[in-house]
Amino acid sequence: MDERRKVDILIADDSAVMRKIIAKTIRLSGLAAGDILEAENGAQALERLAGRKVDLALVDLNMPVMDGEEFIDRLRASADWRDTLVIVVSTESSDERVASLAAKTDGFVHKPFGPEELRDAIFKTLGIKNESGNGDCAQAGGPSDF
Amino acid sequence: MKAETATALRRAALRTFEELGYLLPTEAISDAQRTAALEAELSVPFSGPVKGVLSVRLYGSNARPLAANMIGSEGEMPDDLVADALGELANVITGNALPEIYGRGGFFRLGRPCVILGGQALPPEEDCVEVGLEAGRAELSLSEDN
Repeated sequence: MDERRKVDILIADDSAVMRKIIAKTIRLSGLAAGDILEAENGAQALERLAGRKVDLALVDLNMPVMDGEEFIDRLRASADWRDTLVIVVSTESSDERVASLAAKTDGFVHKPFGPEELRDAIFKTLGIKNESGNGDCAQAGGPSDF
Repeated sequence: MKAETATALRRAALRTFEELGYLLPTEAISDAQRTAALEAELSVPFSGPVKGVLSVRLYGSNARPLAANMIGSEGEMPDDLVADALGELANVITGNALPEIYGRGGFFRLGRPCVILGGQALPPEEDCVEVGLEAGRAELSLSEDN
């Protein structure tokens, strides 16, 4: 993608704290982030996307109301949103389910994750070269946060 | 509790408290940690190949530091955000422990974590795994529905 353009992102996770961790990691990653939308389940994520698009969606699987897999299926079935890049951020470890998700998503980050791991997955999925080079990444959480 | 189950619970807890909570958990428990008062009780129901509940009891004064560490905040944390953070910690421990205990072939669905803040007088958990935390300890137990 055009590296000069700002990247609009959706975060869907039922934990407000996890959404904050992910958003903070994005803001500190050096990525030219545009809008960062947040939703606490798949249904709310669809509402957030009404009338607009995002470049990337970071999606948890276990969510009430509408889980992440159904949300991803809705995205892929939509003419407007089917090209949205999707990274699953989850504790899911079932080999079968991870393989099934790989067929319809663009990345997978396993919880718990370090900020560098999430950043690297985002940059790789967006096809953006990591300018920090050696893997340095600001820590999103932690008592020494900046 | 089977040794394999205890090992899986301990491994998931150590990794999650360290990587998500930015604490330095230990397998050894000091006398001060052992006598700390109950601070919070967390439980995550799960279903799939096996149905049950994973419970985490926190003793001492770790809840607010854990929540603050997770989002890199040095300010006061409201109770709802602390509860959300602890729920996510319990969720991640559960999501990582279950495949180690029951195998990676099954697909587990995790329910919404239940978080009770505040020290209630509870009978000691007999069949549990303990992990030392900086200002107290965590007790983990697993119960299966019959």
